[in-house]
Amino acid sequence: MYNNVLMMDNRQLIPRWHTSRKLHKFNYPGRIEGTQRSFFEEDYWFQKSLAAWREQPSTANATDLFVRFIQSDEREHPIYLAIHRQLLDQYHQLPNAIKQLVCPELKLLDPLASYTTETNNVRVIINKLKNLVKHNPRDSLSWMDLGFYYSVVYELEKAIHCVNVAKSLDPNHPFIARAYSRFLVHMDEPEQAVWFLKSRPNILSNPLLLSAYIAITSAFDIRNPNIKKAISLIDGWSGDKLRTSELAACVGTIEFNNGSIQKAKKHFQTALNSPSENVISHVEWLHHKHQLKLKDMPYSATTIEGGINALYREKQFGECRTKLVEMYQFQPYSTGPIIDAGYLSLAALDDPEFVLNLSDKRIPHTHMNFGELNNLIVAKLLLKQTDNLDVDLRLLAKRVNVEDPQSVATLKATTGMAFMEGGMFTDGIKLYEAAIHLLEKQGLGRALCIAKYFFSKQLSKFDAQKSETLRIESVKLAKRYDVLEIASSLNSPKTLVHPHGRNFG
Amino acid sequence: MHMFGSLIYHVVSGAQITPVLIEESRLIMPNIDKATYEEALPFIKSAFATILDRFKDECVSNFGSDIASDLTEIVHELCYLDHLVRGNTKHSNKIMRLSMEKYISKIAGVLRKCHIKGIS
Repeated sequence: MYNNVLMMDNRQLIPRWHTSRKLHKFNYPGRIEGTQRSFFEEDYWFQKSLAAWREQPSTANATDLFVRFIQSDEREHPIYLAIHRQLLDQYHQLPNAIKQLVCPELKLLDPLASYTTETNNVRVIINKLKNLVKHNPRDSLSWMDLGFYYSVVYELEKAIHCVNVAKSLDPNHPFIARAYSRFLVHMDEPEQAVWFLKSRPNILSNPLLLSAYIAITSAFDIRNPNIKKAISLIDGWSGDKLRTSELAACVGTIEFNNGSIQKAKKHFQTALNSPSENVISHVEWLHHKHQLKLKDMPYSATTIEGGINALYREKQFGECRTKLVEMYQFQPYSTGPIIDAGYLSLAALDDPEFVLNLSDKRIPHTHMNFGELNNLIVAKLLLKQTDNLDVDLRLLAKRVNVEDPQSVATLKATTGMAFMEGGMFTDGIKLYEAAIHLLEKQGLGRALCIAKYFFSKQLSKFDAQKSETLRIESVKLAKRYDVLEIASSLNSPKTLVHPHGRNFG
Repeated sequence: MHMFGSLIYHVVSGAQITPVLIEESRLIMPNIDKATYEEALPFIKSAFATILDRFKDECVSNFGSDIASDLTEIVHELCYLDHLVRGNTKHSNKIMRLSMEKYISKIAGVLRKCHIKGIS
């Protein structure tokens, strides 16, 4: 599957992976909680506590009554508000545990609004989490969070161990199962993710698990998902509508891909009743990619990914790149946004220095994945920084997926570029032509367009006629495949590059 | 068992453990009241870990690390959220696991250590 964050070709609602402490904030933006009423006032002990406080409104009596309100989840009651006011007045005299009740604050190991991506800070968080799981080995969420941060610094062996521990502790829990399946998708193991989800005993009763299962099977063409069970689950769901939001959007996407636009719209409309961040991003993507319009479309800036696609469509590539970096801080285990930001820097903004600053010192080159390393090599070549480039090229060759024609073609093109920059023009041109031939043979139109366009730019110095032919072909392909960055940069000559983008959104 | 652990927590920190746990869990998962027991349990366990971490810090500053370690262990085992593993973790037999013998002995040890350190 090829799908960049930028206008993915085949987007599905593959679950997001967030740490336990930021899950709700990021997954359900702007969610308003309803209050729940209970009959606690009839309780004998509550009446006794209330009478004691009325008779003598001391801190001890106020605390006792306040605790009863919290246990009954009554936050709007006038007496609760009076007691809260009293305790806030006496805040500095209160014991620490009561302070935490009066003015609760979530303890965050990662204090940033999004996620820390700076390696040293990530290491500090990892140490804190290690300490936490050492003393609380059954805390599956902290194990999963530890795996998350190991993934950020690309220490995958350790990440695998941590997510496996989390999965073994609570295999049927939707947060753990979805995070685990997303991790497997990043490890290029979607089949294993599908198998794992399929074997959950609660898959047919839990919409969060079923949506993850349908999304992954559909996105990776593993099997034709049966949406009947999903539809009956949505129709019969009496709980929180938020939980069925992604499932409804998954079903809508399948209906849309099958050509049933009206049915798809109906499901998307259901999903938008109480949408998650992923659903909003998905609907935004459908709007920009396939011009699907729905009633009450969410504002594109509600989600980062929605903003990225909107800016790309408006050809604001600089702002789009900034948003992509923001997206990386939102999902730091995925290098997809970085790869796309690098690609835009090279293809649309002619700014290889940005790629160098972003990627060169981020993680060791040995830990880098194919797309990011490729962009870094291209940026270095454009900036004539050829020190130790042979090592990077060899690492790139090790990272190539031989079963993936786009990956092989990218390697050929980048190596060709390195040869041409090194003065070996004939060998370089041969490699580039081989890359183009491979992409043509496989029918990879978008990649072919990019390759032809930049090859034409490079060749303009040596063979003007061939360069012009390639340019015209690339323009046709750019229009056909909506490659806006090439269509909008045709008038400004650039050096040949062949950046690569591959990720899972 | 749970109430005894909560009492120890209350004596040290000034509040029962249940409301503190409710508030901490709600910070992690705001809609926890709409979740089933199985779905909420990992979030509550994680909140419990945070509370115990804070409790230990408070105990260290009041009594020193040795007594703090004992008190945290007692509260951890007596108030553990999952009733299937609550109690003495060294025993799988339910009767032995839920026996108060260990905790009475631990508390006696804590009192002796406090006496030696001059903590009243």
